Amino acid sequence: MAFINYAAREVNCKIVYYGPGLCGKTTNLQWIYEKTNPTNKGKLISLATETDRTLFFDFLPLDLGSIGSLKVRFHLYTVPGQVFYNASRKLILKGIDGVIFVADSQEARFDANLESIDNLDKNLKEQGFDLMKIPYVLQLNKRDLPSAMPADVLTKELRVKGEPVFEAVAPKGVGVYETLKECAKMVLKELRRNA
Amino acid sequence: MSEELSRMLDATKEKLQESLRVLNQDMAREFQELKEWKPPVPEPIVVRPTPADLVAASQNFSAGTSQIEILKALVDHVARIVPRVLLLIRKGGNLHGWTGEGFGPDFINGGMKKIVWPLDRYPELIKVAQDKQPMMLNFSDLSDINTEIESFDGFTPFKSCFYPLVVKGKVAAVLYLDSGSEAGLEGQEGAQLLCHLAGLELTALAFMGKKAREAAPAPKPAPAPEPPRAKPRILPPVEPEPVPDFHPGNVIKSKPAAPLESEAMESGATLDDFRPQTIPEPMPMPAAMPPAAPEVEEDPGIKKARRVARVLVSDLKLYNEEAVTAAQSAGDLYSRLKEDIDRSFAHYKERTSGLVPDGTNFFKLELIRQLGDGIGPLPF
Repeated sequence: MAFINYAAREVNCKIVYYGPGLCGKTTNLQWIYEKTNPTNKGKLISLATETDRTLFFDFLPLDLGSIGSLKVRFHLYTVPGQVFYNASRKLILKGIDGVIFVADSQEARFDANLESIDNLDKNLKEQGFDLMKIPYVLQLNKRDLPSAMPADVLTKELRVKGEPVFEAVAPKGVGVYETLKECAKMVLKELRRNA
Repeated sequence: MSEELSRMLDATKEKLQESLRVLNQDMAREFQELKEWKPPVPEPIVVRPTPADLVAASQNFSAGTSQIEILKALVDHVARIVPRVLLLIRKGGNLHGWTGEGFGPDFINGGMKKIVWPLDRYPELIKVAQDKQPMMLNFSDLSDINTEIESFDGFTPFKSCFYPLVVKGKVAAVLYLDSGSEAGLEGQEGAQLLCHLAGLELTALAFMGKKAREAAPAPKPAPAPEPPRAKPRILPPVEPEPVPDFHPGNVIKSKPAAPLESEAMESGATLDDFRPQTIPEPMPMPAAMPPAAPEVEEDPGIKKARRVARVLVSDLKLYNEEAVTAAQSAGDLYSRLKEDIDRSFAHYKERTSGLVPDGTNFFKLELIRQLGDGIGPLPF
């Protein structure tokens, strides 16, 4: 849930990159971090425990509009993808405003994608959110790999509610910014609707 | 007086001698009986397969999309009803040890793969291979093959059985099983039935082809309710709002998916083409893991358990590539990744509690399927 920093005149929103292990969530985040104007971003912070690791940083995109006189600051997070790090994932979903689901296009990870979407749905419910209602974008990553399944097949199988779908090759930045931009727009739209 | 006393003494002496003679006879008889005594044969520990076990086994065979999967499932299910089982694959005129359960770890990890039994050397094998008939014998009645069996782990079982695995009308493999103790052997009828069923499934696989089999519905559709998909599909798909500066043309399009399995395991192959040393190969081929196509008709609980197992093992592989690669040759993945494997298995048990009625350990099956012989002995 977005919160307002009146002193800084900012609305703070939280977007989480979700998906199975090694699907490219961190690569998305790192690419965005590298390409963001240094004056508009905070530090890239890695939160590590003994067993898992996640990343987050915040940035302030100036070209995505504002809400009234308030600027919008986005906080981007990734979650640990391995199946058994669910406690960390639940924690990171607290106060969420939007989700980008990064799917691994490889056939060998098809089940992992389904499992992760199920897990997202369940964890959101536990946090009081509804996947059907929150801003949500699907990214089909690793489109450059020979073992990638056809995009239309993946879209049919993984799409939850008619959400926007983007193909991506995260290490090259293909589709990365577009995915974030779409999710950010949906978050802003939702904020304006509730303002 | 003295005569009277003398008679009494003689009579007593005579009685005493008679008693000693009888005692000697009794002792001689008992000694003979003791010599001839044999310890009683202990009652076998019988684990009879229930109809549900057989149905579960049959379903697992049907769900198999490769020879490896079906053969592994056969050994796994037979091992639940007999103490020791060994599958020997026919290669030309020989039988080669391939996989087994119930034997010592030294044998499973080393000696088993060295077994090469010429089919024409032992009468038991000649009969099984030519007549396609099972053989069950007391161990003491076996030919010289008993020294081979004794060499497995130095143990002499009471009974031994040999079952032909018939594929496309030919004996493609032999299933050996024994009591693993001095007890008798029971449960072999169930093992024979499973062997027959597996042979039929392998024959079907050979004729239908792997992909056709994947696409085909399960032969015994479970009257299950619609699987509870956590993936919600409440709203119909809608086109996304266009993004002004998104150029789909910039996205690198995918190529067609890679074939699901290696050529060696293509559906047309028979077990004659099967090379035991190539079994642990699926690991370097991530594309070999098929999606959930064959599970369409599965019980939702089993389907979920299978998927959880697949994802956990897939994660294990991805996050531990170096260890997995090294373990393929060393056969010690479990000792290398004990912590991760144990944690994954604990998670599997937690997630699948109550979902799998027959207790099939899909996590173990998946480890074997994806990692082959690189795992080493497993404690579960």
